[in-house]
Amino acid sequence: MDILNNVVIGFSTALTATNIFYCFIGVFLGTLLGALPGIGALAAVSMLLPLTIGLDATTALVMLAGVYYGSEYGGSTASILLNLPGTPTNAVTCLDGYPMAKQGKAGIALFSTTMASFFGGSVGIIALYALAPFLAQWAIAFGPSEYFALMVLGLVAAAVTQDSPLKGLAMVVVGMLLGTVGTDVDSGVARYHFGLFELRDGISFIALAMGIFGVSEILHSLRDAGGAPEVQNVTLRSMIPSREEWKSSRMPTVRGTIIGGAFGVLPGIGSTVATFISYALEKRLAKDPSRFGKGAIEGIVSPEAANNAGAQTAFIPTLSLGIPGSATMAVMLGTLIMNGIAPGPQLMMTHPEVVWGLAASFWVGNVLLVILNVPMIGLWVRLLRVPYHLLYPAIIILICIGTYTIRSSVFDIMLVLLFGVAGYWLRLLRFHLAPVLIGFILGPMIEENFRRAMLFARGDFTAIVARPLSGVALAICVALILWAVYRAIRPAQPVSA
Amino acid sequence: MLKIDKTDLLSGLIVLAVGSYFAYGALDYRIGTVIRMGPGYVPLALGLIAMGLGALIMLSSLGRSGALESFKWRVVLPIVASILAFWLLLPRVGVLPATFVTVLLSTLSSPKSLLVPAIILGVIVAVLIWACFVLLLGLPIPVLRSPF
Repeated sequence: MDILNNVVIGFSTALTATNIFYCFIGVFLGTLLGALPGIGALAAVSMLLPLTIGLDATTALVMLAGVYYGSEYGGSTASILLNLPGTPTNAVTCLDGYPMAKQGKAGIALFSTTMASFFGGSVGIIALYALAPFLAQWAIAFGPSEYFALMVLGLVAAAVTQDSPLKGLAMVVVGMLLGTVGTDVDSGVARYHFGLFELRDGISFIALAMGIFGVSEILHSLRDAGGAPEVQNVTLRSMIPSREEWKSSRMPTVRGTIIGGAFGVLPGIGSTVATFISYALEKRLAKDPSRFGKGAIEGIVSPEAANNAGAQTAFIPTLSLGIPGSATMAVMLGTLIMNGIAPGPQLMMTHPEVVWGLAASFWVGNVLLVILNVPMIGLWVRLLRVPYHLLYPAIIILICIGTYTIRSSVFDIMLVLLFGVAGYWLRLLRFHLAPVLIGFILGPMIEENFRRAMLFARGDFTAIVARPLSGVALAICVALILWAVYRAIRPAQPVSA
Repeated sequence: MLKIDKTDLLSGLIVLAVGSYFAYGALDYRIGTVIRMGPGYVPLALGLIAMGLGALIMLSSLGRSGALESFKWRVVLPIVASILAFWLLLPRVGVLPATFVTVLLSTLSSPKSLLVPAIILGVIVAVLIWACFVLLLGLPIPVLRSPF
């Protein structure tokens, strides 16, 4: 069986000493950064990317992926103990996690979410092994029209799932415009370089990511910095749930996993949406919905399972099609490209050890995370007591030096500053910034495929629509955009979470 | 009086401005035809789309009220200064002093920072950064350099 073969290739790559070591470093640092308030998975991944310079492509990705799902675990710790979601995907966990902590059940909440995350993550990995090869095989036959349509669909989906779809779309287009800076592959003309030599290679995506997710995040956290957080002690003994709590968290974990896994596969729709949906579902299914918001264990395990299942299945379109499902996945693709590996359906044929080794390392990472989060919980509790004003200067330095080392360019530090302040300002104006990065990464690919598709079709746009897959994808885009415009024009209504 | 959501009005204006900048700039490059697109074709199209979206966002701001959030320069300026200092100092005096100055400047953003702990923090971070990036990872970063 092919899948079995892939599993063998995967684990023989993932279980080398080097890869286990970097996987550990990744999940450790990821949990650490994820637990800090205001630093999401995306910021954590882009901040730690410089540490992977000089590593082999597989090892680099193994480490960054560890950072990614490690930060999802860490984020839930901050949500439960501090009522501060470390990442947006953990926001729902605050609703019932913090009340549980206030009732003295912080240990149980942490243990259950870790277990639910582990279950969700493991199922997500199995789905990745089972589905990705088929998707890639199917995608081999894709032409530029299909790629163009699917990427546009990813962008539109990423934009309209934001609370203001119009502003989401605008940010996608701004990201694509930033992506046009630099030398045009077809003609060799340098576009929008402002006479600066450094911009002829385009804007460094690390500088963009660090600016809009690192610096602007810090500015935003400093802006609302409140009093010193009070963190209660968590002992290992207090973490063991009662039989009742085991029983009531079993089915919600399974349901959350299914929802999260399904949403993770869809391009552009992050796991944040999945966590809200699974929370709402549990509340509807509960015999006594009034317990929710007051420390219902179902309300934390289901979203956490969803979030981690989605974190793994998000790799399916990324690895099999080369289309990132989220901004964090876009950074992963960027790392592949930086290492000279072209993403796309042929990736599994040309670099099976990268794809399957990475997938197997997820499981290694998830096991490491359980170890990190259960016996070593005291460490994270202590970390959360470190006041923010001692942490952020160090994070600023990490951002600066990280950006500098990628291209040994001080110019990029300037770009980080520029994007950081601009990102902070846009955030104050209630723009979401993840679509900027997705647009920035996909923009040049869309342009290339669009130009090729139009050349093949002799400029006849209906040729793209006439192909079944691209036609359907574009029809969905149009429907999503119409819905977005309708929502924007209609008088504002409260969005139900 | 006409109600306007100032946040969205400004948001739309920014998107409109960015779009028109790129659309206008695209005219400097060859646009080409649909079949053989020049380097200006896609930026022009995207710029026009951004202008349209900006206009729509501005339109949607009418009829609702909303105020702008304050920019809080007191938080932003020290961070800007600290990153600028790193940009200036790193190639001239090396990573150790640059890190120290950057940490010190950035602590000014938080009212909770005190001078002595900030200095200690600066020294610790500088040494850690040097140990991690130069000693352990061996990255080519200037460590200590005379500016003269």
